[in-house]
Formats: sequence, structure tokens, C-alpha cells
Amino acid sequence: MPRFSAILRAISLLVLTLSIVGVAAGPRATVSATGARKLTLWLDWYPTTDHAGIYVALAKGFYAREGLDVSARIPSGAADATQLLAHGTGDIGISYEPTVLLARAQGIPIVATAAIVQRPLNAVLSLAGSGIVRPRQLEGRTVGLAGDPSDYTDLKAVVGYDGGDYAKVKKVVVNYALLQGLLAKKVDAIIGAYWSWEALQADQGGHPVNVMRLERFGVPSYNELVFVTGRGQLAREPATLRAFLRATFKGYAYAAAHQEEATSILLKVPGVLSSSRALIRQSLSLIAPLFKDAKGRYGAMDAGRWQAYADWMLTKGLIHSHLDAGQALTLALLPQR
Amino acid sequence: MSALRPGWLLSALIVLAFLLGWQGIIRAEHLEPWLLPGPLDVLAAFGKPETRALIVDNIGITLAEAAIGLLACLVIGVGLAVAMFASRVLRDALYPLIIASQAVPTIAIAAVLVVAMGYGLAPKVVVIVLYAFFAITVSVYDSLLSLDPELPELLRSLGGSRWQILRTARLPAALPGFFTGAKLAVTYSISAAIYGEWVGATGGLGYALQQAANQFQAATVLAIVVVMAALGLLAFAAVALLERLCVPWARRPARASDW
Repeated sequence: MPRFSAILRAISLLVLTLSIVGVAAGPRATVSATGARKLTLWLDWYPTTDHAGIYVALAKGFYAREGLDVSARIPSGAADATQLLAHGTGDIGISYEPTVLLARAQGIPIVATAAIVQRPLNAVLSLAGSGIVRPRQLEGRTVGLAGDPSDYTDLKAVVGYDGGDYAKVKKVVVNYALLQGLLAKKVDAIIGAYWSWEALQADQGGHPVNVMRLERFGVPSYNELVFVTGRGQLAREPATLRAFLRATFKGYAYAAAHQEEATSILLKVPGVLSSSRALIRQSLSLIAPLFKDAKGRYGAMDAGRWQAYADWMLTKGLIHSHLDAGQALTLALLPQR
Repeated sequence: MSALRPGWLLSALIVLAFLLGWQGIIRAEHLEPWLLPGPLDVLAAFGKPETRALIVDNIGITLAEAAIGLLACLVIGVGLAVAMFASRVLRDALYPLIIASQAVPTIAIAAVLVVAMGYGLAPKVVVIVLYAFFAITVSVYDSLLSLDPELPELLRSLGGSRWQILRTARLPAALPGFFTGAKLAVTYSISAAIYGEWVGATGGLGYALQQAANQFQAATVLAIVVVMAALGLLAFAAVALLERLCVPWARRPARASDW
């Protein structure tokens, strides 16, 4: 009955709740036929260079060597991974530092376990011919969002920083059709797009874009992509998650060191967002240095800097009460060096 | 009116039992508000100025979409019913198509419409029409058919003109069916508007719902759902009232004792 689906979608929170009764019933370690531990990984988006290390680890057998059988999945909504994990569905997911903090601010018990990309990639993009070169010009315009919670707060922060009125910015959730919406001129700008991917993709397709990086408009540096997991999963299987991170960062190190080979691997991934070797190669060369922190460590997160980001969110009115960022991340699973 | 009171009391009791059961499950299972907010959390959400602002800013958009969509439904629904009643050829041509239109999954259509028509009013109106015209067409057509064919004959033999027959026999016969269809269509219009907004909009209750859900505000989501349900009820009541004023003769509520 189609007319009920709108309501069903609307109260999906309720529906998900029912599923937790089953999920929370007890630990269920699924094991594949070969005896490997099956792990479900929720990606944040279609596969791109952000996920290079994961696909390298899959292709090179790094997971298999840890006794893991990892399946990477794309959630049906671009903002779903966090909630899926909080509800106990899946083992690990990819999210963003601001999203993890926003989730914690609402009491959702997810925890970041490692940083994939150390610095912000997020940007507001507009078509070069649009004349929109700074966030305050978005007043009265329509901005496409993927629907992640951080899209709203990022937009509010950069528009406010630039002296604009966020309330006058029209927002529309376009889910995965972010770049398509911009190129089809359905929206005047997009947020949640990466200067290291969507901007290059647009350029390469003959549509040069204006790139407004968040950190140029008052947003402090943060870990763009992080692995997250739920409270239950963390308590149950720290060793499995540790093995996952070990193999994954071996993959990222390999991808950074062998970018040509990593590009070939990504080109073969089903659903990868581009079939252009040049694009993937260029994007990879831009973000590979960001896989490591200033001390050359993979996965590292700085709890003090997370707290500084949470405090900044509070001063900007993006969250409404003090947040202890220490609860939002754990350093216990990172590979020992 | 007084005959309805025990029914209302029972309704109130059912709602109360539902709310108590809901709160009870949350207590018993220690469900946190992010997972499933209770009635008290939803009440608290209504108390927040930002929730009220979100609802106030967006309710008008949904109402406007629903009203325009409903109007389009009425025109198209009645037009099709009359056309099918007036012509056998049209009936044979249109009826299967009208039935087939109800088999089209609206969610798929809504997504395509957004791509083709953008994020404005037009795709919402189309979604509402696709959703709701059927109820009106079918009920108006059926009530036109239900008119005793001897009555127009009689009026004609008494020298009645086509117009007089339409006014004194056919129109009064079709009105109850029209209102039955309109009562269904008005509630569908609101859910269809929200549906259209969910797929892509820059305002409206569906948009507000999506924004709250995306920002993990479960209690706000349920608060908006409550507003939506209230809107549906009020819209239904408004049409029912109009029906009572326009078709007083059709108001004979069936009771078990009639059977």
C-alpha cells in the first residue's frame, strides 16, 4: 500500500526500535564457511578514494590474513550508517567527527574507533558560472544536502561565519544525488561534497566549480572520515575490531605507497563512483598524505582536539549543552606502534 | 449527538491505554529517548520553542500543497466520473486506465517527478492527484450509477428539461458519493503532500520531519507525526461538516439496531 509507506518511512525510528529487541538479544558472531569471522562495514557513501585502504585490504587479502570476511555495504540513505550501528545493525561503519559528536549530543551511543582521513575534505561547491564564491551568498538560494546531520550544522556555521543568515538558505535533501543535483542546476550549491572528489569529478566532466572549504570559513580542523561502532559491538568484540583496524590501515599504507596499483583496484570495485583512472589517481594523490597525522600515524585521533571541536560547536549554537568528547572516541583499538 | 458520547469516551480510553502502554514499555525495557521517545518526551518536544518554530514555519506549506492538490483531485475526479457516466466508450476506455494508475508505486513516481519538476509545488500536486483522485472518481461514479434509472425517465415524461433533471435528480444522487470520496481524498492529500516533500522539498512538514530525523531528534519526529495526524483528523472533520450542511438528507447513521 503506497500510501502507508510515507508514514512508515516517517516512523522508521519506531520500526528500527522493534528490530533492536531481536538484535540486542545476545551476541551473534557470524562465521563464514571458511571459518573467517564475518564483518559488516557500512560505508558513508558510494566507494571512492576515501575508501581506498579498505578495498586494497580486501584485494590484497589483508582481512583474510586476520581471519576476517569483510563485506562493505552502502546504506540506502546517506545518513543511515550512524543510526544503523547505534541500533546494533552491522559491526563497524564510516562517519565523520562532527556527526559522531552530534550523535553523542543526542545521547546516541556511538564511538569513533579510528580516523581514516585526518583533515576536513568537506566543502560548499557551486558552479563556476553561478557567481557564488562565498557562503553568505547562499541567502535566498537552494543548497543540496546529502542528509547527514553535520550538513545542517556545517552550513549554519559557514554561512553565519561569513555574515549570512542561515534561516534564509533553502535546503533540500538530495541524498546520493549531490553532484548530479548541482550539475543539473536543480540546486545552486551543495554541501557535504569533497574538494578531493566531487570538485575534481565536476571539473573533469567539463563543469568547473567554486570550492568553499569549510576551514576557510571558520570551521576548526577535524577528522573528516572516522570508523565508528556501537556500544554493544565495542564491548563484545574488541579483538575483532582491533584486527579489522590493523588490516585496514595496512591497506591505507599500501594504497598511499602504491597509488597506481590502488587505482587499479578501485577501478574494479562494483559501484565505484568513477570509471576514470585519471580522476581516481589524482584524488588519491591529494588525500593519501591526509591518511596520516603529523607524526605519521595511521588512524590517530587527538582527544583534546575533539574536545576543542565540541566546545566550538557549543559556542556556535550547533549543540545545546556541554559535551564530553572523551565519550565519543576510544583510542584502545588502534594498532600499537 | 448525545448518542455518540459513549463512542468518544471509548476512543479516549483507547488513546489513553495506548499512551500508558507506550510509556510502560519504555519504563520496563529501559529504552532511552534516542531509541524510542515516550509520550512525555514528545510532550517535552512540543514545549521547546525550536520545535514549535519548526512546525509553525512549515505547516502552511503542507496545507497549501494539500489544498491545491485536493482541488485538482476534485476537478479531475468528478470530471472523470461524469465523463464515464455520460459515455460508454469513455467508460470502457478510462476505467482500466484509472485502475492501472493505482498500481503505480507512488514512491517511484515521486522520485522521478522531483528530477523532472524540481523541488517546488508542482510535483507535490501531481503526487496528491495520483494518490487521491481515485477515491473521488470511484465513489462519484458509483453513486451516479446507483440512481434509479426510472426517476429521470419519470421527470422527462413530466416535461422536465435536461438541466432540471440534472439539478433535481442526478446531482442530489451524486452528492453523498462525492462527499464519501472527498473525505478519503482530503486525508490522502495530507499524507501525499508529506510524501512528496520527503522526496525533495525546501519546506513543509515532510521536510521538517526529514530534518529532525536526519539530526537524530527522535522526539521532534514524533511531535511532527502527531501534528500530521491532527491535521488529517481536522481536515476530515471539516469535510464531514460540509457534508452535513450540503447533504442533510443523507445523514442517517447506521446503527446495529437497524439490521
